[in-house]
Amino acid sequence: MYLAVKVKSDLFHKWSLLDYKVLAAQWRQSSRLLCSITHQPDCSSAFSETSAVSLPAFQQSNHMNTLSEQYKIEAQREHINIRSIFCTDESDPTKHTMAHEGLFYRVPDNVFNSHQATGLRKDFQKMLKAFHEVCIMIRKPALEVFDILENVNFDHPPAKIILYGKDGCGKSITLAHVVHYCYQKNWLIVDIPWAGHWLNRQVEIAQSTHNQDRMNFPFVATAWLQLFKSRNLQLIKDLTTTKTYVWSKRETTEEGTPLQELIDFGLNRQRFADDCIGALLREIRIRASEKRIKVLVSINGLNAFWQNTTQREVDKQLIPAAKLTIVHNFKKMFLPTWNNGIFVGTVDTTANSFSQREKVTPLYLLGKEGFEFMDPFIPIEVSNYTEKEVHSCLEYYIERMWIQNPRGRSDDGKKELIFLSNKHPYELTRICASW
Amino acid sequence: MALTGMKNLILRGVLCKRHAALMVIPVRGKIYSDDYISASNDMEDLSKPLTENDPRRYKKIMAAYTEHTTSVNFDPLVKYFTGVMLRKGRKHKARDVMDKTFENIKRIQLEKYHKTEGAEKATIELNPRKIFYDAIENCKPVLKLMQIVKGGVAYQVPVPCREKEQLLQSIKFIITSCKDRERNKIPMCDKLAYELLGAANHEGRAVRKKQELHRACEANKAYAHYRW
Repeated sequence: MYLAVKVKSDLFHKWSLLDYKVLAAQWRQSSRLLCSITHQPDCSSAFSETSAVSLPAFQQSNHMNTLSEQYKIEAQREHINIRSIFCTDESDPTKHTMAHEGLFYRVPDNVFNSHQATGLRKDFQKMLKAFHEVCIMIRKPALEVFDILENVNFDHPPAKIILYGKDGCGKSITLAHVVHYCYQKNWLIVDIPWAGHWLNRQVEIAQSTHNQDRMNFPFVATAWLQLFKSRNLQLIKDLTTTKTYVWSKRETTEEGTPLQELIDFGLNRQRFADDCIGALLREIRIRASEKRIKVLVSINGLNAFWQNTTQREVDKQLIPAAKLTIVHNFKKMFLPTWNNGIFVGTVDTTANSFSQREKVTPLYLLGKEGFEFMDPFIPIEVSNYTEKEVHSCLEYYIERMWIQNPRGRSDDGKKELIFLSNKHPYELTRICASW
Repeated sequence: MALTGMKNLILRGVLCKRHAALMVIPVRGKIYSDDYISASNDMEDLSKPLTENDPRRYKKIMAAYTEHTTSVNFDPLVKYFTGVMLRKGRKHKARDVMDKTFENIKRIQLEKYHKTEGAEKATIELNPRKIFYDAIENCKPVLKLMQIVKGGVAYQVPVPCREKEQLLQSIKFIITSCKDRERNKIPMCDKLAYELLGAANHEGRAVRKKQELHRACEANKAYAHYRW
């Protein structure tokens, strides 16, 4: 009895270790996706070792079952969760390696709601609701960013990483993955979920009290302060200001007051909220240089900083984003005046005005001015799914019951979906929606 | 060129009526005789070898419809429904509405599925195609009212419905009941999803319309013999 149990557990181990890459290669080779799992050297050796277990059904019969069917049959037989093919149990992004590439991982709900939900597009959030869980695919660009984060020298000025790629390829979701990584490492996260949102809103504008040339967005600023406070309250608990800030004749923030009070002041006095952000970011830069905290600056839709807002000035000219106090303050985070921080951001066509959406490259989207300001940075492309990723994604959709058409679940259906979407992640979700 | 386009050209004076008469293509009329058999678009069917007595060996075959594809997801009934829903020739729009409807149905049912617990889960139908078929089946009327004039008086005479008429009528019930909805600002795909889900459970306006028609036929039962 003990022997039988041991044999079974060995088999289970072998099955879970099956290299998905080899399977994907087999998928690629066969046009009709007809290949037998018996060709797997690992697998066959596993069966030869265990004479106590009878051969699986598909090995006995000559019928060439499809690979996914074989998996399901075997999973039922051995009581293995079919999920292990496309999903890892490792929900800690700091432990993600190239071995996990193309697999989904489950994001804890509290992390998603507090750190990631605001930046993602509505379509994606709707999908998550239908799937009844939050899963993000571990993809190569994210792993590349992790590699940089681990090896970069934090004594130097902050390194800048810019994710770029076609619309709907997963830049924002890669960024969400990076944010989760930094959250897990207990870094301070200074992020803008969607910078384009600042410019396209029709909200109240006011002249800055600090500098007459600049414009304030009091509502936007307070919203951002609220967001920052809700995310990082634990980390900034011990930090205090290094300078006395004079807001007006009667209102000052003394040296040595906690940062939390500074934020509360900004929330209570909307008039000074924009300048308050500047003060807060300045304090963060100083404290990071003192090695008290590590900082991740993440901005989704960075190119919006070099665009025009939709608001007009008195002379009916559109206000450029550079004139806004918040943008001016955030731009200081890219200057080499501090260290112990890193910047990860995306450039996106949708953050640009309609007339400037032809290309997706950072040089085009940032413009000459923006490119020169950001230079030097590390560009990382987020592209379409690879063969392995698209299969893993389709398996996930089938498991989550998103593909309901029984013929769509077959290999012919998968082949057609891959052909129609050209492995474009967003297109794939759209096409699958009616299947 | 479509007939509506031709009309515009005539109205603008580009063409005179004499020209137009020559260029009109009979769209609705069937130009194939009974010798022809319709083309198949099912890949499974096509990949099989022909049997000895297969009519495809000796009969002529019609040209395939431009709308028909060999896609795994192709469904002739969905295509027919889309054609009925179509307005102003905007087929891409109608197709888009249809796709979104299926998506909405799936969303609603999946939400319900995740909420319920235990054995009840298995009873929830998740496939939007099946719900769509059920809804159309449930809205099919058996009878219709036909206006027949006898002795200078017009009577509403109940007449049995042919299968094709049943299908069209049931589709029309569903689409018109979506349009009747008071809140016009709701997109068509949302309204259609709710209507189909309701009809699949014998609820909603479309099913009620069918029942009203049956009631009217029942009331006019006395005139049934005027059919001849």
